[in-house]
Amino acid sequence: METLEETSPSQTADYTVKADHLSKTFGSFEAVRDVTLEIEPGAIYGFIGPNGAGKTTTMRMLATLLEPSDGEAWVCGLSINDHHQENLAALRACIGYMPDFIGIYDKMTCREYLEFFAAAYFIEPKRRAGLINDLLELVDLSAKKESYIEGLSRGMTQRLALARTLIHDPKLLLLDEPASGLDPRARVELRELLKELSRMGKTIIISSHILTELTEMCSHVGIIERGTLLASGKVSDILGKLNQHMRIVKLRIRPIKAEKVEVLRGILLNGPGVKAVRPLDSQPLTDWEVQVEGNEAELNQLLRYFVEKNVPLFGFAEQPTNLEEIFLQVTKGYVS
Amino acid sequence: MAGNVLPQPKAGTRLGKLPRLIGGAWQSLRHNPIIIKELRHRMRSWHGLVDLATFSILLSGFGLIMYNTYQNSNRIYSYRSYIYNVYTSNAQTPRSQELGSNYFVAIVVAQLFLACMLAPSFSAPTIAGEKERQTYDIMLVTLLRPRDIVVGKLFSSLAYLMLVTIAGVPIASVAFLMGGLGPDQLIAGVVVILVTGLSLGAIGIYWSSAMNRSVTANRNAFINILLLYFVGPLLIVYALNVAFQPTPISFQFSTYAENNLKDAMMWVSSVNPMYAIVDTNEILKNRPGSNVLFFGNTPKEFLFTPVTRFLFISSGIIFIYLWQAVSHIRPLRPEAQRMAKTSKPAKTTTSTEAKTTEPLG
Ligand SMILES: Nc1ncnc2c1ncn2[C@@H]1O[C@H](COP(=O)(O)OP(=O)(O)OP(=O)(O)O)[C@@H](O)[C@H]1O
Ligand SMILES: [Mg+2]
Repeated sequence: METLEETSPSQTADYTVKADHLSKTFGSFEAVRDVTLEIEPGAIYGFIGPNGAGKTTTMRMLATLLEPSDGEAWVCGLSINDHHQENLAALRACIGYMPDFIGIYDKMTCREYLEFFAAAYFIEPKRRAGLINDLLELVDLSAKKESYIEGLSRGMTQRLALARTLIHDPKLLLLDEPASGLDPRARVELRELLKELSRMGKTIIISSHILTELTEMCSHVGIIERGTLLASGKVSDILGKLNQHMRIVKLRIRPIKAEKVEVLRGILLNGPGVKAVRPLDSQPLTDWEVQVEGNEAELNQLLRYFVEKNVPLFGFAEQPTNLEEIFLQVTKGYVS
Repeated sequence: MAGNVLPQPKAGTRLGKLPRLIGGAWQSLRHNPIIIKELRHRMRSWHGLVDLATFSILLSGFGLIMYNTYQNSNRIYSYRSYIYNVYTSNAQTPRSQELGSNYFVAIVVAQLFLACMLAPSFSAPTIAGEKERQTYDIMLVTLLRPRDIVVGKLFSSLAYLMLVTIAGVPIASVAFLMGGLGPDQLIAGVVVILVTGLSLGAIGIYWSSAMNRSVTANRNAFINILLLYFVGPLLIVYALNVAFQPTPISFQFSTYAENNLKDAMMWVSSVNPMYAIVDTNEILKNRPGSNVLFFGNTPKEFLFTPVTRFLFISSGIIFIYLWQAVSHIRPLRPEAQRMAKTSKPAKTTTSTEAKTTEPLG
């Protein structure tokens, strides 16, 4: 960030990425519609959405590979709609883009691959060798330095691609589904690597349609569906917003007779703020899920109500809301 | 970024600028990352060298056969040429010298034919191949400008052809031993081959940038070359011939008009490098006082030889196709470029500041 402020003191780049009604239509099809978002420096921004939601399209627009049909976006304070050579060069210098499909060159070693990109980013020749060693160290590929890329495993190729996106020390990393095709262990490694990069001060946008993948590392999320950004912001903010609307409470109840089940359901449904009730298992029926609207005070009332009604309760726990929950709720229209 | 930028020529004499410009262009070629990458890749595959050796042997064999054929027919030729020379008032060219230049022309035409095959098939898959391998996007987001990519792809795909051309020079130089070949002709031959390679390579790069698959790029490049270099000129020359043939009614077709027609036909035909080489050779043999660049019907007249015309036309072809290729490689639509271009100079610093600070602040 220092360098940016040095070169252009007049620009107050509070956000690494800022999009304003960014849209893209292919023919008459609106792939991305009015995406407005802000991403702070240092954030790990999870970009979540089902297949065809417009994640790749949005990221390609930010990466200056695709021209928006409408709207505007700024990366590091630079407009993506200004196609002058100097502006494009400055933009590309602060963006590291990793596409969803990683193409590799055959008959090329990892070192040569990184050397090519170092040259393509005009990094001084005398700095290249050291830089490449550092990067290979960072992504744990030092042992494969002189191996051909086509001989690498999927996870290794992915890490090499990550090293490539880092070669010019960009401020923003645009990673399009970097974890696809990785085994659980490789995913954990990738996650640690991204956290490390975030600690190094990089802003990261990472897209995925697998939520659990993002749960642990994202500080921010954006949820996109059918081209529309449904929610965007800090994970904790979105959770808070969601919790005002809907909480999931799990109940454990001593097994009761089958004919009493409907009576119990009626009692549960009549609780204050209860919107829906759902048994989670069958014989013997012990676990229930209750959707409650309201805050902590209302939850407390609900618990009192259950006790008053002599519900044979031995467990009452609010479900920790995770990204998956957020996603399901948001796409159902609870948050907007 | 500094490594690739052409040194800015200071305001100075014209002569001072040129070497610096050439030096800068050479440096930028030498440091072009794409050239380095592609050449390394090509070196890795040995079949390149094997091909080169095979080609040189074939070309030498071809030359040997040509040489023998001419030697054997020399006796007959020298008799015929006696009669021929009587009729055509141009007895300056001894038969043995004609042998040398004919041999040379045959070698050059063989090499041109090879260039027609090699240049497009090496250049057409380059950019389309990156698209197929899905490495195109990551190449585009680097700081390489579209023109760096185009120039890098063009020269790396022509490197092999250049090697083949240079390998052919000693074989063509045998013509010196037979006589009748000036050094200017040899240089012109090499230049024509290289320029042909450049133009066909440019056409290949153009189609490569326009198409998403290397197979289609290759096919379109070959069709384009066939139409532009062979079918097109033939049809046009034929049409001119039919349209302006002196009929019995207009038998007073002036020599002036006839010369213009011939000149137009020569321009059209000179698109084709094989025609240019063969016809220039004929001109050199039959018109004393002409050289590879100029000839005249009278000693005071200076007309461009087909070789010169070919060089002019080729520069245009190279420029247009490369320019189009560069604009294809820009991922952004030309409309937006035009809009950006027209809006920017009008309000310079204020517009950029307003653009960037307003939404952020
Ligand atoms: N070049 C294109 N031409 C026409 N339609 C396109 C083009 N690129 C994308 N689309 C359409 O835009 C929509 C969004 O695509 P996009 O690739 O952005 O989705 P995504 O969120 O990345 O999905 P996935 O999770 O499958 O990668 C899709 O319906 C797709 O068919
Ligand atoms: Mg995608």
